[in-house]
Amino acid sequence: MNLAGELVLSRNQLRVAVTQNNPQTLAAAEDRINQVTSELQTVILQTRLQPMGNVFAKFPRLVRDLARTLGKEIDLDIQGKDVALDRSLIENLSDPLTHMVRNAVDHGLETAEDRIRAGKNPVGRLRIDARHEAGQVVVEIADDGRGIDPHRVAAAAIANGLISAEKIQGLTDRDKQALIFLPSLSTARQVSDVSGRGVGMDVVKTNLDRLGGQMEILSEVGKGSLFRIKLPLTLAIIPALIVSVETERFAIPQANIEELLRLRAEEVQRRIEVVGDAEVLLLRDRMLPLTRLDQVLGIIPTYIDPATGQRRPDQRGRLADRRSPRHALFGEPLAAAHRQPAGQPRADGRRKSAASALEIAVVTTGLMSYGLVVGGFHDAEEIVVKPLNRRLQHLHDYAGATLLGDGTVALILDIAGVANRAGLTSVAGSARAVDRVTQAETERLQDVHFLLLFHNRPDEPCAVPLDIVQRIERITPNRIERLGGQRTMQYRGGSLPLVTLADAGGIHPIEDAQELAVLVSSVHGREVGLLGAMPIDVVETRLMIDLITHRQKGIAGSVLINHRTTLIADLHDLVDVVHPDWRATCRDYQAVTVLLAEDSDFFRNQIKRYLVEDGFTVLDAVDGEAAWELLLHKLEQVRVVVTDLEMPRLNGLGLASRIRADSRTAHLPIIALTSLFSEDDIAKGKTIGINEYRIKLDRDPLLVSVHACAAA
Amino acid sequence: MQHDEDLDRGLLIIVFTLGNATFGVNARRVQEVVKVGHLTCVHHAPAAVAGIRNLRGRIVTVVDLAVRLKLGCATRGPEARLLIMEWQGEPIGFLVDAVTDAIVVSEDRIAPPPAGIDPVLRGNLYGLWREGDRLIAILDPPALFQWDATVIAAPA
Repeated sequence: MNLAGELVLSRNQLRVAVTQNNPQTLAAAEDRINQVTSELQTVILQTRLQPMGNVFAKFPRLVRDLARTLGKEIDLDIQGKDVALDRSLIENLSDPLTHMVRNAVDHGLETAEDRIRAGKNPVGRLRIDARHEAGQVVVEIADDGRGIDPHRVAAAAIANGLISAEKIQGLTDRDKQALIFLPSLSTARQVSDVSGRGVGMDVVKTNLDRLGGQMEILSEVGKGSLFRIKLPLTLAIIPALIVSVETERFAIPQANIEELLRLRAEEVQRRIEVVGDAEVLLLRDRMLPLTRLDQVLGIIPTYIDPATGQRRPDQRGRLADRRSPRHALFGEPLAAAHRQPAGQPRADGRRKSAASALEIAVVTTGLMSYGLVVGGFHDAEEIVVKPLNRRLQHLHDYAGATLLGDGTVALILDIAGVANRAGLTSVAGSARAVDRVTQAETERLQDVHFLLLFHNRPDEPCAVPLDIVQRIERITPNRIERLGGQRTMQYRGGSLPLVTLADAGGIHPIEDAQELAVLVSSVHGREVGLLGAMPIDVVETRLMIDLITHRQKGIAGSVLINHRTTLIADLHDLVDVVHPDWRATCRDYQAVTVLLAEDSDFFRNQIKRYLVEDGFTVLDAVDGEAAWELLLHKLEQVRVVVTDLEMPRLNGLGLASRIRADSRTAHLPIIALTSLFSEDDIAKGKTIGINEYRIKLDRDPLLVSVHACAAA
Repeated sequence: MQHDEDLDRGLLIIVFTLGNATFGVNARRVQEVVKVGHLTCVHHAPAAVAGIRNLRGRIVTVVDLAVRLKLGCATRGPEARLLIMEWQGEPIGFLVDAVTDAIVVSEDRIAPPPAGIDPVLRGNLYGLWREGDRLIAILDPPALFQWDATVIAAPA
């Protein structure tokens, strides 16, 4: 179809329709214009947008040729060829990216011999990746080569007179790595055909600056380098949802939207909890912090006065005010100045209006999700992102602006910025709401505990974590030998000390049942047997272990199994009572601080005790996010990080990659704890930088690892 | 012909009002004068920013010149206009109460800004022009754009 011709015809049709004032012709003209426009739009967009693949296409050959010249083996992985960017951006990206790929092959990746010597796979890996992220296009070039040595870069910069030695003193490793962007700096030992002529990264940087791009380097000596380029979406088109608050409209990128909810007035009370001074949305099994867009932005709430039909400032501050007066202790809303004085009669009819229902967009920043109360939902539209004036870019609430169909401007919300403004991520304000959310998530993500069930007396079910049991021996009572008040049994050519739950007192002595089970475990490096009565069983439970009610010497806690309260034995406690001398003989280490991240209270307390008993100082955190904050506070102290893998908010892999990415913490050894691990998990963890994997509660191997890491 | 000679020697000034005061600005700086149109409020923006609007596909940041000069705020009546100027490649619309006329002034007869007036205003003045009983304060565009010094990053 000739679109230009179609457009002219449609205009003529429209003109006639307007002259005749004929609704039917008008509707037909609108239809036609709609169709022509969308086709035109598609065609024009296609001509402007080009896939990153156009730039990436030449890389396989480039890398192959270079690798051959340099005698290297390289495995190239290219992702995100379909990510479309404006043609002008694509064209200008080509040179800088090519340069960086050359750099990675020439400087970054080592020769096969060097790699083997360094204990790496002889085949170097080069990853080129493009994707959309938070309204920007991110292009990454990552290699697993030798990394950028901050000291060498610094030395080269000094040698070339680009920076003074005093100035270098104050720089972090990351700052030093960024010195490669200085003009005429090259650390290549010899000039090659490929690169190393001292013109390079500064040109790349200048080119990217001109495109409005930002570059970030994450590099670790011996591990590799990652160059991340963030390009603005000045011309990119993103799908977005248009929402309104009062008379204003905003766009939320669809990428940030999880789901849309409408709470009817009668649901509001049931679904919105008040926690401290914050509100929490109950969404199926989740609890999400809730914030109101009008309050975040300081928009004065209004209502339409039924008497006059005019908009007036609304006196209701919070959602909860719509429910009952007992929530009047809420903080002052932002629009306080516009509220009517207390006691003044409210306008009639408002409470009955549909305004009492709530429209909530459940949004996510990737790291956290929250409910955003808006006035109403409108269309989903493809929007063109336009940047705000440079002098408004400090407002992180907005990702930019866009033009709506009626020609007005709508601001694009930056979901992470709005969360910050609302204080949702900070400790203050809605900390308790976040806590509740964490708690709910903890319950959801509760670790599976495998427990070995046995009995002390027939009516006293007991259990130990299966992880700590090495072997199970069935014996008859006559094999037990009593010597000097201690029980032992002949076992594998030696004498195995036996303990029972009653040894710590407070528990009935074990009955001399006909069939006994000895659960062989190891404490302080010695074998010990826990004596229990048959039958024994293995159960899997996700229930929370109660650490308080039945806690006493020898009992770690209790859990409900088959509707019966089951005591969980604490073998270390029992051994300490029966053989206090064992503990004295255990090795004494200098006080080393270990950061422990574990969301299950039971495991955390247990592991913490092991570590403390072994002479470590332990800082513990309930999830990765908390651990990270704690780590930043205690940077000087922490020497080893021990982390669970599955945790709410920030999991173990996330924590590990954050630690590796920050120059202050990148050197820390990380030991991952898991109840069940697959080879895949291990491989994944190793690439992120996890040093070791240990099974939870497998005490001695864990301690060995921690000691080894602490000594390293 | 007389008029053209004036232009050669002088400066074309767009004259506008803010409250009771009359101001002028070099017309070469002003790309166009438009009606205020629909402004989208940018919450949390500096007080001087009245909003943003669409001008033929460009996003114009609208600055209330009265707020900018600490003279209260513009009235936004039917005569209100935006003076569209460009600064560092970005369009900015200065909101004024009314645009009255354009006059030619000769540069050598512009009086320097007097001491003793409000320092905010003084910092933005290019000079004073007296015409009959009218006193026109001629503004200095480069100074005007520094409307929130705390957040202006140095141009890259």
